[in-house]
Amino acid sequence: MKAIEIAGLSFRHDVRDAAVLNDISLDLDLGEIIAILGPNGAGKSTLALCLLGLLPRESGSIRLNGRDIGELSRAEMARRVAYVPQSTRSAFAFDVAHMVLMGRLAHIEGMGSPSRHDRRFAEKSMEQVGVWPLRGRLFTELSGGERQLVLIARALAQDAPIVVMDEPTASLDLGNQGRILGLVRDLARTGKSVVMTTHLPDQAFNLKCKVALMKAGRLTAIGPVAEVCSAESMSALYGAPLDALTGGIANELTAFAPRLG
Amino acid sequence: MKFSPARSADRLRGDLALAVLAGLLVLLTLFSLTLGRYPVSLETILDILTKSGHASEAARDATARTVVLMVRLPRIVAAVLIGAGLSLSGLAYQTIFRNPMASPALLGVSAGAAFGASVALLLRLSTLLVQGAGFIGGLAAVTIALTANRAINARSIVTLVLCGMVVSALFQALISIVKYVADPVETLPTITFWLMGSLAKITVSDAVVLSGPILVCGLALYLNRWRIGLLALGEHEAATMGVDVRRMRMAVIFLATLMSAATVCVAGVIGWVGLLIPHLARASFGMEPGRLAISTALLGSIFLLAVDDLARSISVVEVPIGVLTALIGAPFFLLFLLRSRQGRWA
Repeated sequence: MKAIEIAGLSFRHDVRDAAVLNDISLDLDLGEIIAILGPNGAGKSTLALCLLGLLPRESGSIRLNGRDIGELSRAEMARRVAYVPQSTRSAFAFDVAHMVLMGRLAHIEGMGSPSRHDRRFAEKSMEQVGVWPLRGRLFTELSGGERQLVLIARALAQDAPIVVMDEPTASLDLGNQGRILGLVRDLARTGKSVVMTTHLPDQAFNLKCKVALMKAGRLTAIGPVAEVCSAESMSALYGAPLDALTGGIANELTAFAPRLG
Repeated sequence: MKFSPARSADRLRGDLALAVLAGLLVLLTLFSLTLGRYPVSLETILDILTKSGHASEAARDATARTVVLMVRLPRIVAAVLIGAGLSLSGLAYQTIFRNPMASPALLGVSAGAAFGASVALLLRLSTLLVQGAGFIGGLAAVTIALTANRAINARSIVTLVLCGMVVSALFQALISIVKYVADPVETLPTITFWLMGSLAKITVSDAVVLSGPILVCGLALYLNRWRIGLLALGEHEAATMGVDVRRMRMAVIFLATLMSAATVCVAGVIGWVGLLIPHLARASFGMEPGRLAISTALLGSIFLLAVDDLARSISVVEVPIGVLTALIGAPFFLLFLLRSRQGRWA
C-alpha cells in the first residue's frame, strides 16, 4: 500500500476561474521524499493544501494509506499528515516548548490537555531537531531559520507518517538550508513520507529524491531527480534559459543558474 | 526525567503566582464587604459568613446581616463574575480572531447586547427575556461585524476593529431611538442609568441569573482551552492539528457572546475590561492555556471589584463603573501599546 495516492486531482477556486490544479496524479511510498518543483503560481502550495484536506477537490481522489481523505475526520487527518507551513506569523508570543507541544493535540481527544507522555514526546522532538536550547524563547523573537526548525519539531511531535512542507527553506541562508535538508533526509530514514515544495532543484539532487515538475496546474514530469532534471527540462519549466552547473567534488549534485541574455 | 527540573520549577512559580492572585481576590472580597456607609467590622462579617442565622441574635446583627448578605454580597459576587466574564470573553475573541485588539466592546457585542436588552426593557419584559434579547442583539452584532470583515477580506487587525466600531455605532443609534420613544418618567431613566454601567442596583436574583451563563460558558471555554489555543495559529494550522475550525470558532463566539451579553443585561456596558485584562494576563503569565485562562479570570475579577469599590466610595454620589473602567483602562492600554514591541502587533 502506498503512503499517498493522488489520482486525477483537479481544483479551482471558483467555477468561473481556470483550474489551479489540473488532473494531477502521483503516488509516494513510505519513507520516500518527493520534491515538487515549478515556477511561482504553478499550484505547488495549492497541491499541498489539497493533500492536507484544506481545500475542496473538484474531482479526483487522494488516498492516504489506502483511505480516501474525504472519509477522514480532521482529527484522523491530523494523525496521518503533519504540516510545516511556509512561515507562521503568530499574533501571540508562544514560547517554543508550547509551540511544539501543540503538535501533540492531534493525539488528544476532545477536551483533554497534554499529558506527561505528550510533554516528553514534544521534548524528544525538540531534541531531535536541535531546538531544545530554544525551548524557553518566544517564537515571535526567533530568526527565520529557528522558526522553521521549531515548526519541524512541532510536525515531528504530531507523529504523523506523512509530512507536508511548503517551501521549508524559503528565505533561509545556506547553513540553515543544509540543516533543514538534513532533517528531511532523517525523517525519510525513520520511515516518514515527505512532500516538499521548493524552488531549488539542487536540493532534490542533494536528497536524491523523487521529483515532480509542475507548470500551470499540471504535472509535466515525475521521476527520480537525475532523470527528470536536465538543463532542457528546467529551462522549459521556468520558461527561461538555464545552465546546469555540475562536476567538481559533488559529482552527483547539479545546480541550475539563469543565463543572462 | 532529565528535562523535568527547569520546567517544573517554572510551573511551580506560575502556580504560586496564581495562588497569590486567588488569595488577593479573597482579601479584596472581605475588604469590599466592610466598605459602605453602614459600619460593619471584619469580625462581624466573618461571623455572618460562617455562622447560620440562628447563631447571631441581636437586632444590630440582623441589620448587619441584611446589609452584608442582601446588599453588599450580591454586588460583590456580581462584580467578580462580570470581571471574570468580560475578561474571559475578551481572551476568547482575541484568541480565535488572532487579534489582540478584539474585545466585547470593540466587536460591537456590548452595543448589540445593550440594544437588545433596552428593547426588552422598553417592552417591560421579564429578566430572562431581557437576557435573551441581549444575547440575540450581541450575536447579531458580532455576526454583522464578522460578515463585513470577511467581505472586505483585508487581512489586517484594524479592519475587524473598524467593522466592530461601525456595528457599534449602528447599535448606538438604535439605542438612541429606543431612548427617544421610551417613557421619560419611568423607562428612560432606568435605561439611561443602566447603560452607563452600574452595579448599584444589583439584587440577589440578578447575581444568581448572571452566575448561570458566566459559570457554564467560562467552564466550557476552560475545558476546551488547548484546542481554542490552536486557533490562535490560524485556520490552516489549527485544522492540520485536528481542530474542526468552523465548528470550534462558532462555538467559541457563541459562548463568549453569551457571557458578555449576560454582563451587559445585568450591569450595562462596561468597557475596557475585556480588552485590557487578557493583555495583562498574557504579559504576566504567558500563553500556557490553563494558567492564562485562570489568571485572566482572576485578574478581571480583582480589577472590576477594585474599580467597583472605588465607584461606590470615591464620592457621596456613585460614579458609574463604566465611566471609571474607561478612565482607568484607556490610559493603561495606551501605556501597554507604548511598551509592547511593535512587531507583535503588525
